[in-house]
Amino acid sequence: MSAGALILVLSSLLIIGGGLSLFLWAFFSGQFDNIQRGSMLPFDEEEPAGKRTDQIFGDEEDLDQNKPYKGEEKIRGSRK
Amino acid sequence: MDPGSKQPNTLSVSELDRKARSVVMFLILSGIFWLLFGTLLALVASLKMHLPDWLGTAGWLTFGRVRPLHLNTMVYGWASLTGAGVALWLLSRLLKVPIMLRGYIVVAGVIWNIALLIGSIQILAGNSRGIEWLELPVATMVPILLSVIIMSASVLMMLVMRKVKQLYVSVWYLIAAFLWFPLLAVVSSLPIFDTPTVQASMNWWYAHNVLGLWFTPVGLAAAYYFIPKVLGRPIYSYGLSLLGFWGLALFYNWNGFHHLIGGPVPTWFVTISISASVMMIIPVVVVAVNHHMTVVGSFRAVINSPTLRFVVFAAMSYTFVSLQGAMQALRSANEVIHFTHFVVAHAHIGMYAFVTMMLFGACYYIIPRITMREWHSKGLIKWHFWLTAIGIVIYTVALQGIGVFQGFSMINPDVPFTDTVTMTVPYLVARSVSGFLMTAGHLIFAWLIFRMVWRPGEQPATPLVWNKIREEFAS
Amino acid sequence: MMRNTILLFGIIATFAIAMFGLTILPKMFIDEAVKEPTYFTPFEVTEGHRIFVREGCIYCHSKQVRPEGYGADFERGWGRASVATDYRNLLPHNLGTMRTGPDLANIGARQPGRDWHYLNLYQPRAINEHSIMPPFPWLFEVVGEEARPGRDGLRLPEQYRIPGKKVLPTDEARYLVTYLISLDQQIAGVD
Repeated sequence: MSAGALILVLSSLLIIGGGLSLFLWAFFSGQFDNIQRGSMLPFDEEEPAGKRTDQIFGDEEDLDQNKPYKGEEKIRGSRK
Repeated sequence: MDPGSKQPNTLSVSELDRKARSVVMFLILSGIFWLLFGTLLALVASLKMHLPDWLGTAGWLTFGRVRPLHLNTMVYGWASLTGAGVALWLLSRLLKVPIMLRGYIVVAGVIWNIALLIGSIQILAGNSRGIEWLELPVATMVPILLSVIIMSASVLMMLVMRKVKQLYVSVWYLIAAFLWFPLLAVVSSLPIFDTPTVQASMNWWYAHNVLGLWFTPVGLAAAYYFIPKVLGRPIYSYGLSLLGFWGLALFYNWNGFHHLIGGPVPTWFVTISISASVMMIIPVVVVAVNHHMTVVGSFRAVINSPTLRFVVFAAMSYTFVSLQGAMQALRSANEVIHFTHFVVAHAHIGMYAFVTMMLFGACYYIIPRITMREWHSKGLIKWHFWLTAIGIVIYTVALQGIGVFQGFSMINPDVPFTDTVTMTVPYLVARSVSGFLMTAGHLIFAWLIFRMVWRPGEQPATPLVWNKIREEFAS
Repeated sequence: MMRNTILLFGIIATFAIAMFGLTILPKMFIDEAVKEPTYFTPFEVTEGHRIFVREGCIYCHSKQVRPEGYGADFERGWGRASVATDYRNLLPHNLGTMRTGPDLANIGARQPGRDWHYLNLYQPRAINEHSIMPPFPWLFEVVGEEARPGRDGLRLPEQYRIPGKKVLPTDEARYLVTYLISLDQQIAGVD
């Protein structure tokens, strides 16, 4: 087969093989162990879950997503 | 809830943002330069399609050179540079380490910009490499490739030195993107594809993979971060999002040959790509369900955030364009729409309605937080959103609407070919109109950022959402 | 439960990879038993191809005819289904992806006359007023009527004529037209 076609197929296999190895690493290093906890990764102490951010167009901000979206409250809220 | 084991000596979010400032702003500002230049090229190309004699004596401005330069500046300039900046910021936040090799990345970025500028001049001068999505001369692709490799090295270092044990789904997408893109660029630059149909196969393997393995991961990583972040609500089903990632990783690579349906390549080659294109429906639907279930019930929170207006628009466009793509890959549909303006619009839904709008949303979140400044006008942000959103919708409806008719007319031998052209002209005019709307939106965006970066200190129109950070730094 | 689902997914994926990889590879080895043909391509044709690429013709014209029964390529007289050898090993490939203009794989058979091509390149609307194809005047030179005796200028329609001047093709136009006329499925490819 031509060199070009060979490289094309090999690199496709490399990409997929890389994907497979990453998958196996992830599985055996416990990345899949606590799925629910993974969804909380974007949040932390400074910007916890339950607090909205970036409500720039809102007039009466309420950053606590558990409260109904109305009423006047200071943006600062009670962080921490 | 405990967001995952956090190790000692971890920097705070505001400290990470502060360290990210120079490198991320440099990449975003570079990207915006190419956005404006690429938009100008887009207008010229679009106008020339229905005004073919306009500027018709200038060889360097002929459609056949301006159109590919538009593509290359948007792909390797705007989307890649800004995308890289957004990606590095996301990784810094999610791995809780500062961006590594910051100085090297800025130098690499400068070289990237210079290489792209030289490549642009080369294309207008007639020295295009002549392969779609790969028109930049190899000598200018190499510096860009090296710059990406430096960023990939930074990403791997950040991964090794991370302060969180578990990797969020956005991290997976981004690491994969920074490994896949250099590989694609290297393979496509090798001079070993020495017969036309083999080179054509490489061409479309490359072009489609750049979309699915570089831009899509960056876009989805952003969506998976900003949607929960702004809403204060975690992703609906994190397990589903992982499945979506692996689906992309395993199926996407084989899609590219669906660009050659009906062409002079072995049929089985093409059939595999059609199967892979249809299989992609699985990860795409998974992503869509996840986003929808996370956002549902929070409509007001979405429209009150400039970031989410753009991000949710982009995420929905991703679902739409991907499902449309799977449909287009079927032979019966392909017979009609292949070679028509339908496909051009499809490409723009992907690169604009998805990738570009996603990057706009990301910039609206990131820039104030790393510069610690405010947008000076809420109204202008809304103008940006509506001009670009309406612009791309007009573009899509006009060209995909007439594209279908064009396709049906082309496969009807009783319709003279010239009629398949004249029927599209009013819609090409509509496309130019939409282009002016999008241009206006881009200029507003650039102005907003210019004002924020170079003329701060005005009374901000937006609420001060990080007084806490300011207090931290005052003390 | 989720852990097992992911494991199952991993197993299916592994199988899929193996299936793709192992069916493609043997097939390719078998198919490539054909010896590469040799092409004797005149200088004008390779130069013309270079100019074709430079001016970006592929962004409006495809150069791949689909098989009869798929689309109306055959009925439109665009030729038989293209095969790999039609491209004469000229790189970069220009299979093209758009039909803003007609397919060119067999244009040499449809339009064998040089004058038609010169006129079309200089001012497409001189041939078809509804054409949206760009003009390529830089491939031509405009000289005085009396200059270059013996050489006839392009036969332009009334509105495109320049008083006292005639339009002559340059070498580049000649090469490009030679290339276009060579795009003929009867003579292209291998004997």
